[in-house]
Amino acid sequence: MKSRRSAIIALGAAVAAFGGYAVSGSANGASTSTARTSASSCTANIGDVGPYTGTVAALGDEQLDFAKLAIQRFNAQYGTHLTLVEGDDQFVPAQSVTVVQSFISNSKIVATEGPATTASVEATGALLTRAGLAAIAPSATQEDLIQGSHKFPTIFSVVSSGWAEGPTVGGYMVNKLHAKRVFIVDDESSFAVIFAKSVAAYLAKAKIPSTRTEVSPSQTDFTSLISTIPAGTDYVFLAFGTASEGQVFGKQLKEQGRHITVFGDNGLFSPSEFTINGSYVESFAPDLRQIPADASILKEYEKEYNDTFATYGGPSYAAAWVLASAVYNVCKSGQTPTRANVLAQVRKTNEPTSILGRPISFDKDGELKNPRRWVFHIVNGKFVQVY
Amino acid sequence: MRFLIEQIVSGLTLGGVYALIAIGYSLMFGVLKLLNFAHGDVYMVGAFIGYFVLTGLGGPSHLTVPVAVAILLMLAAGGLGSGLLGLCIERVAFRPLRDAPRTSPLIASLGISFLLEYSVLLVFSANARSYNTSAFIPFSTSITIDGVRIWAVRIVVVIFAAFVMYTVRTLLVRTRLGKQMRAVAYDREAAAMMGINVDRTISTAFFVGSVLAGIAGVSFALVFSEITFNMGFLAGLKGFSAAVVGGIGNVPGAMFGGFAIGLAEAFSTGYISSTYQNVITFGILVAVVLLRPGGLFGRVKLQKV
Repeated sequence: MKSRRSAIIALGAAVAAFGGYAVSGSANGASTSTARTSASSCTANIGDVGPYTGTVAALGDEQLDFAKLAIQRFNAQYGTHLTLVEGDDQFVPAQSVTVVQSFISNSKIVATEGPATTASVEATGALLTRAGLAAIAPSATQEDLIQGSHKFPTIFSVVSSGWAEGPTVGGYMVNKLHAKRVFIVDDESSFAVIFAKSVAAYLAKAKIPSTRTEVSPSQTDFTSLISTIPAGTDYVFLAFGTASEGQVFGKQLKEQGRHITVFGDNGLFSPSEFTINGSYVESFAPDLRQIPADASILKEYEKEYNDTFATYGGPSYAAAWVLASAVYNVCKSGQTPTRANVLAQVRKTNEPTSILGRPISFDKDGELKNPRRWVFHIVNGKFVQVY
Repeated sequence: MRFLIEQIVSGLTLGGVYALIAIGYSLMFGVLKLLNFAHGDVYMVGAFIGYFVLTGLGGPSHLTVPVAVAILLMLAAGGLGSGLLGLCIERVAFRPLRDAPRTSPLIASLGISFLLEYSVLLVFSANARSYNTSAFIPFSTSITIDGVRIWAVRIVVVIFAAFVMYTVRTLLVRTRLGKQMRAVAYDREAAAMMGINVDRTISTAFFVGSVLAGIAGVSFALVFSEITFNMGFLAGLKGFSAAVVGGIGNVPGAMFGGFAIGLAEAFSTGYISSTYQNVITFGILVAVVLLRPGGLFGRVKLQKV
């Protein structure tokens, strides 16, 4: 149903784009006509690897929908014929390898959005590098994947690394909230461990006592753990993959009568699933609802997918848009969109603005230039940006 | 003392849920001598049915019926819906393979497990749904023991689980149907020769086991609120472990195993570390299997050769 509707809308968009092209072509003269001609023959496939099923399917599904929307809107706006090829890695790195291998074998695929997660990027990075396939990771936040050792030179990131979480969360807790003692919990996933370590390191530097522990993924009962939280703790930092886990933790804190404020990582950003009033949530991306320029995109998203969304969709949209722009720029320069040409264009990316409300360009390692993170405060069920 | 009570309450609540799942496993294994790996997903479907009943009754914040009625309806619908699903699974995946090699129904049940999980994902999306029980039974509805506040929902769930277990035990020991199930479990061919309708008895065992899974799903969601399409996998594994610890095929053993696993989880988190919770839980399983292959309450059947 969803795909049929997408097909109809894509067809409509293509017709509209063609109509627009015909009108502007005749009105604006030859130069526009030439640019449009090169764009209309600009055909390429872009891979999309993400966890559409499995334990974080809610986030993966959001990422896929936003990536599809980006390509659809780009085609409509520039008259290109870009197609997104989906590959579900189920949040399992081994499955990411299978999907990426199939993308590499498919010569029509010139770049890929994703893999989405740190562990998947780590598992597939060498393959992507060897194949010279440009990949933009929309939510992988482990720093040394891209930076430092220059591990995977064809992989780029549109979000800041997990190590920025420490200064953001820790800094906010220490300087704004004047935290006295913090309990840190992560769900053992690779990105959550980085977040937890980074926050713990910052707090230790600021001489704020903290206790760090881990829970098994998919744990559903935290009451035993909550009873071990030391007296005097006023904040608990949760580095969890999904908002529902954070919701259970927050509710069980209340159930046990513990007056401790929850501070969550970006996994907890979900206005529909995490609703513990008074909590704070840190995110690697802004809330698109709070960016006026994104209104038309969100309207289209709602019309197309009619689904709730957190902060994972925005970076996916941005990544897909950057890749689409790279392909378009190759076509516009009269070249064929090969993997090498697209990779060269991705490196030159210089988007003055994006769906994230910020410019996108990459440093020599493929990291986002001038990255930042956001903090939200939940007030009466609303996520209010406070940083 | 306060800390100890907190761990016991936590362990008993989880243990009650595991015990209900484990009894289902044991009942089905008893009559068929085969494992139904879709049992965890039947539990998940029960939780979803309960959620939709709750939504149909106005949702957590605007219930149109008294709270007790709403909870009973959710438990009844979750149990009944899961029971019917269990019947369908038996009819589709197990009965046609009754005389097939033992691995065939095992694989079929794995297939059904994934089919159920991903059907729920596709139909209802991957987003978590919340019972939000505290909206209609506030946390302040609780009793306090030695300074430990125990939420009424936990008490209700543990008492109800114990009541259901007692009922199942009575059904097996005191009724004609129970005798038939035990007879089929003991020797299927002999039971058939004595005039027992084996197919119907197996279906009944699947129905009862699945009803218990559905009730466990709703009970779990009443306490822990959040439900997702993949919640059945780990719960099913824990329930299966509980059944093995108690002695698979043995109903009182399954009850004991459920509570033992629940308490082991709570104590390992409380006194050691939450990081090792699953290591300890499944470590217990391995230890029991090594030391008592038939489980704590089970007997190893000697085979004359």
